[in-house]
Amino acid sequence: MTINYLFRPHLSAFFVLTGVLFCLPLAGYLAFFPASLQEGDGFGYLFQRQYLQSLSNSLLLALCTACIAGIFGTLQALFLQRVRVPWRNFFLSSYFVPFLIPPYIHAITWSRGLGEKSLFMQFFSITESRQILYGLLYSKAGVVLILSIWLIPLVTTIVMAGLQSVDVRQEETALCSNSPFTVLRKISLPLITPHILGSCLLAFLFTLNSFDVPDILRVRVISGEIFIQLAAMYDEMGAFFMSIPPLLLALAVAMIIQRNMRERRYFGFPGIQKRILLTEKRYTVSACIFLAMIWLVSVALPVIVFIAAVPNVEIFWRSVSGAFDELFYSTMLSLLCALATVAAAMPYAYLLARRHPLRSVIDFFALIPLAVPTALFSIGLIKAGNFFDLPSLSSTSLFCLTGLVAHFLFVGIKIMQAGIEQIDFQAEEAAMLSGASKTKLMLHIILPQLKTSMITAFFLVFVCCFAELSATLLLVPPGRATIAVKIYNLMHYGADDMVASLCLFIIIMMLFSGLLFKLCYAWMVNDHRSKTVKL
Amino acid sequence: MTIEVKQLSFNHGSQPALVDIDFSLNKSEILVVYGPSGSGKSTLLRLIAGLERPATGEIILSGKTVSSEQIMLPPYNRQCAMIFQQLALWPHMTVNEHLEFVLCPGEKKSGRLKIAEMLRQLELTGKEGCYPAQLSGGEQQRLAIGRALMPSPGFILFDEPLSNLDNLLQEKIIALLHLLKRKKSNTMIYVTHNLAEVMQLADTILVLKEGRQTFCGSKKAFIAKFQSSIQQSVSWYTQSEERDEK
Repeated sequence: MTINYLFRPHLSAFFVLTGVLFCLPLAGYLAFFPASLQEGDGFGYLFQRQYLQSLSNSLLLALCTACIAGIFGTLQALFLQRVRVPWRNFFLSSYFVPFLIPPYIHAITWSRGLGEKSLFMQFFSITESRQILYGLLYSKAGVVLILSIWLIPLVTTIVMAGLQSVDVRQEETALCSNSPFTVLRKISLPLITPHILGSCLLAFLFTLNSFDVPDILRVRVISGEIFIQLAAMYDEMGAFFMSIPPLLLALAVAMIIQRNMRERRYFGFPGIQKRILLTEKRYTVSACIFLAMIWLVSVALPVIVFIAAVPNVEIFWRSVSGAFDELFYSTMLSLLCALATVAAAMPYAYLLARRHPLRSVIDFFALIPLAVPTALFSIGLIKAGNFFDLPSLSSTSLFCLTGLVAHFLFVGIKIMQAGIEQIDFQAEEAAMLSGASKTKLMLHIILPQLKTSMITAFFLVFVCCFAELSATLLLVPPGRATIAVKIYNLMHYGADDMVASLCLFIIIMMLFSGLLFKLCYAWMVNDHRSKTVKL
Repeated sequence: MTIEVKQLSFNHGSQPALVDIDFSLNKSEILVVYGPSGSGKSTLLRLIAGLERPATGEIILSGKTVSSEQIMLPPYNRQCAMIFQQLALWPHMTVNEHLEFVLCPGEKKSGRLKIAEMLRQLELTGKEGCYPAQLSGGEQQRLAIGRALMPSPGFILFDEPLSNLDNLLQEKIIALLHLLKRKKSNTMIYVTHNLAEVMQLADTILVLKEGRQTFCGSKKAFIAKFQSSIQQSVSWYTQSEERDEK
């Protein structure tokens, strides 16, 4: 399969244009380098004790989270795809919910759940036990726990895509001579190893970039150090030098991810074929307990904790209406960002799906903005704005929007790529041979078959943008604030009731948007099926 | 090593995929299941292998009920091996690992000689360390057959194994199957929609159409019943050949 030649010049032009735009933050960041060198010995920052401590904390957290999210996410994927589970459809529909809830809300949930006045703590009459539990949460272990809960769905999604791509016959042939468990261990798992590794490395990057959860749980990490250096101490040179190691690490990890995943899919779309391998009762029971526990800890717990924390409905509505501007701004920004990302991702996804000769380069460059820590990415964007003397642009939401689109472009590209790969290339060729113009081909052949991928990409990017804190803290124009920033500020002022109300509202909002997405998705799939003639 | 299928039915969701299939097969016989695409041929193989549970009916292998509404023996306890059209080789395993993996647990230690013998028979000696991607099409096909034969199965199920091969390779594989039948006395079920393969391989022929059994009997009876349609297809083939030559 080769790229449709009719699209080549247009796509190349688009690639150059947007590539320049999305590499702007990195360019701005690197342009700052010579100036920083002239100012003095910036490398001294890298050997400060506090910095080294934060760096080792970040690495440890990222490693542990990647491992734990990797193990639990893979198990969840195997249980959902290969074990006979009652309520499988329910678990399949809801396993992604923890990712919809922003990580800072998970952190607040746990800090409240294990707080002095919490219901859970009432069981522990001895103060020492409370102190131990409290100490455990406000430590690296707590950060790992919360980020793992948040990232498990991401790992599950990628591993499930791997399981869906395994040829069912490869497992069935092995089943004729070996037990299902051996088949799972020796055939299925080795075949999806790249997906497991890729998802763990992505979890590593997400944790390395995370700034909100460690900050709430008072653990010093590298992204926090960079942020403080820039936003609190106004030391640009310090921020620049401090961000060199995470930048190099992120680039290295991005390269490994790209080499490891190659042409493999990050997202799979639900197939018709059933591939249940393990039907024995012990596997069913284990799977049920595991899935129910994950669901309870990551979905039910936040809802229960915040319902218990909101004193009454009046305070809830007062808090929500008080933060209406921020809620509206966040929602609009996220919606626009999702829309722009889908539009920008489409040509990239097309190039990748249709095996463009430069696909490895495109893949790598698209991953860089996601891999690079958001604080560093934001600094780069600000620097680029200053470099090109665009103060009018940097004081608008367009600046923030550009940053978010570039940051989450990779998510959009990978979902759309999976969708385009499902479209028969010969259908496009047939349309071209029958005289269809490029516009007609796009509007009548490609887009109608890409609806489900587009809505999935739109929804996921919306969720990611809504949850993003560190980039918005730096990039949102003066006089504006996102709901994440508002909650963050309220938390520091000690307005617990308002924080609980807003967190509950966001959870409800995210659950509702998830439900809406699910309904739209189901409607589109049914609509597509009803229109598709069975050959 | 006999196969008996009684009143076998299977549904894909609410849609019947197989209805009331009935046949029996003696030891060392080859049953060819013939029918157009979507007639339920592969589903029948999957039911016999134990990869699907029948809605009604029974499958009896060597006198033992392995599938019924109440009983469902797992695939690895049925002494069946399966060869698919797409071969389904494991890309992460070498030739040697493929053959090792399918050995019975008790044979793992004494399996080296058996593997060496199998490699010799399949003309794959020297390719033990190769991955499937490093083998030619014919070698891959032979590896798939070797993998199926390695655990000494009583029954071998073929799901259109020759569809993707060129004529020369097809002939070689068919010769190999005849050899197997003579030497190993395996009972085989062979699924195809190619009439030539039916004629070359079958002892007994089962014809399926839209999930229903329309014929089951010997090659002679098959020719007698479908003579006109066979002649039609043969004459169409001859005419088209002549046209091409002109």
